[in-house]
Amino acid sequence: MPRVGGRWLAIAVGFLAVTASAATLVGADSLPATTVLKALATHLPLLHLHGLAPSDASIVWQIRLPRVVLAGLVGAMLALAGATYQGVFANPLADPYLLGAASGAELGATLAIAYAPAAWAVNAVPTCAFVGAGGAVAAAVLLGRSVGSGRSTTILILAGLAVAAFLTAIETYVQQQHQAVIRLIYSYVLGRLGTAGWAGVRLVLPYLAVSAVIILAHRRHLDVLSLGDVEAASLGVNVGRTRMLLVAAATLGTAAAVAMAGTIAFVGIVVPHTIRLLTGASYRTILPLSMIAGAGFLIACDLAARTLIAPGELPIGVITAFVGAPFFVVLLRRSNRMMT
Amino acid sequence: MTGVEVRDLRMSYGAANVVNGISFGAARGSWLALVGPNGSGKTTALGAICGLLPYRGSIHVDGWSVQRLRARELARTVALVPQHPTLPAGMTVATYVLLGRTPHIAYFSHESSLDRDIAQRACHRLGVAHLLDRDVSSLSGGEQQLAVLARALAQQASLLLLDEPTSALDIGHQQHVLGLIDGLRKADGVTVIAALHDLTHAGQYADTVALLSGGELVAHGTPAHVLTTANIAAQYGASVTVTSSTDARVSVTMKRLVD
Repeated sequence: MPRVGGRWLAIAVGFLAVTASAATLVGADSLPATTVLKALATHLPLLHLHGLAPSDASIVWQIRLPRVVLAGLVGAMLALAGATYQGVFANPLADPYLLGAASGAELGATLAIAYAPAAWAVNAVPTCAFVGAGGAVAAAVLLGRSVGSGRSTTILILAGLAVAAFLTAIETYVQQQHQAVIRLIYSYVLGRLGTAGWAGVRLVLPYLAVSAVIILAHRRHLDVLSLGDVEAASLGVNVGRTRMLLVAAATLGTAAAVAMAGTIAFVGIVVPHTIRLLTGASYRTILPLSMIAGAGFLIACDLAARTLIAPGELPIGVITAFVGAPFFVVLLRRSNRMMT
Repeated sequence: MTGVEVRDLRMSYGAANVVNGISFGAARGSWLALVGPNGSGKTTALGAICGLLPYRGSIHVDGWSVQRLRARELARTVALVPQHPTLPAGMTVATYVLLGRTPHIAYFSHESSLDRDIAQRACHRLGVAHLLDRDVSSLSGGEQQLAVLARALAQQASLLLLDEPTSALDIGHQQHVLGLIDGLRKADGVTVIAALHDLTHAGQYADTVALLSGGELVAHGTPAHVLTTANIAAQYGASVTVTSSTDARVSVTMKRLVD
């Protein structure tokens, strides 16, 4: 009888450890590995190391490490939310932005960048993006419920599409009226992990933790939902309530992630599907492994984003799609060959 | 009364009445076949008995009102095998059968070793224990049906609802699956209510037959009493030969229509 595969768990943890180590050791500033290790060791108890320049310690502790941690948290959340949406909607194309979270976040960020006083912009952008993402999904759910029973996943997805299109239209209008800030808006849309620091990590962590705990506690329910509404209900599951709870939890985490890191695409699709193709269809395995692999994937993508054209930096959203898409196609072809 | 008691069952889709005040019962451990032409209300009635569709009237299973039981309590009492079950691609047979334990597991809890043992025993009894690591969606039609039955058996319900359980199977697998269900019924005292299109299956395996037509109950009783050439001609518009064996089992054979 099934248990989370220890072999795949070890591989996922190994992948995360390797990417996190590489991302901490390597950066735009060519610090020797020994300097990085020494900087890390200064925060260990009972160790009193000397000969480390304050600027080197600052690069490691105030720039690289919070960025690695934030990338890991955001990647874990987006992959977990993507897997959850795919399970809740029984739709392999579902991603964390299915019900309009990305459009809402982008509109919120656009409004903050265009209208908030410059002094407030640092805090206003993530706050407005968070409110926009959560508000868009809430609007989609309310719209879906107002049409018929509101319990059909198809109606909910269509409501999400309608809300997303409406918000994108407003966003486009605002951008046209404020062309001077379009560059700032696109910088947000394509993802940003470098500016948040430890403050950003502290800000998103509670939301991500609550979201992850709720979703992981329901991993068995997601397996039941994969039988379809009728069979899940015949097994005693309140399908409507479980679906809404999971959507709310995934949206909370997604809203926090996009508020801090922008609307990074593709992680929520490529990571869960990769895990599914490798380990099978049970959400008991897919959810925890997606979190670990999602963290490792985004850390690796961020490492590439900040080192490939150093001292310049590529938008991380470009890297996630550029690396993820071909890898995913190779995996799909391999899986198809195995099945035939 | 133990078993199932359905009284004055009425159901509608919008303004259309699809079940009009039908009443029937099935004793604990017996097999009741619901038969009738397409659209007669068989599947709809099964939906009411397992609490998935709203209805008026009363349904009691082992003395408990279906409307008053909580969803998990009802799922511990009634197991449903739908006509077209969903078999998630990539899910192993082991995981799939274990889902039958869902109503026995507390909301935030996970399967105990007892749940795993019960699911494994269900797989052994249905003869799918050698398929535990296989992708459930890649099994043959017969194996898939056995896996679905194993999941229902793991539910440990006292009432098993089957909606056309053999519609996708060849005659050999039909006989095998129906024989297994009959064996489980006799061994465990499970009550079986099956919606069946094949009248010979109803005549061979059911203790009682309820013939529905247009949402009405037109006949209810033993197979020999209900499955007559006159009833079948009147409700199905079909010309058939009915043969009875000495053990009161009935076979229905369709005749070729001659111009």
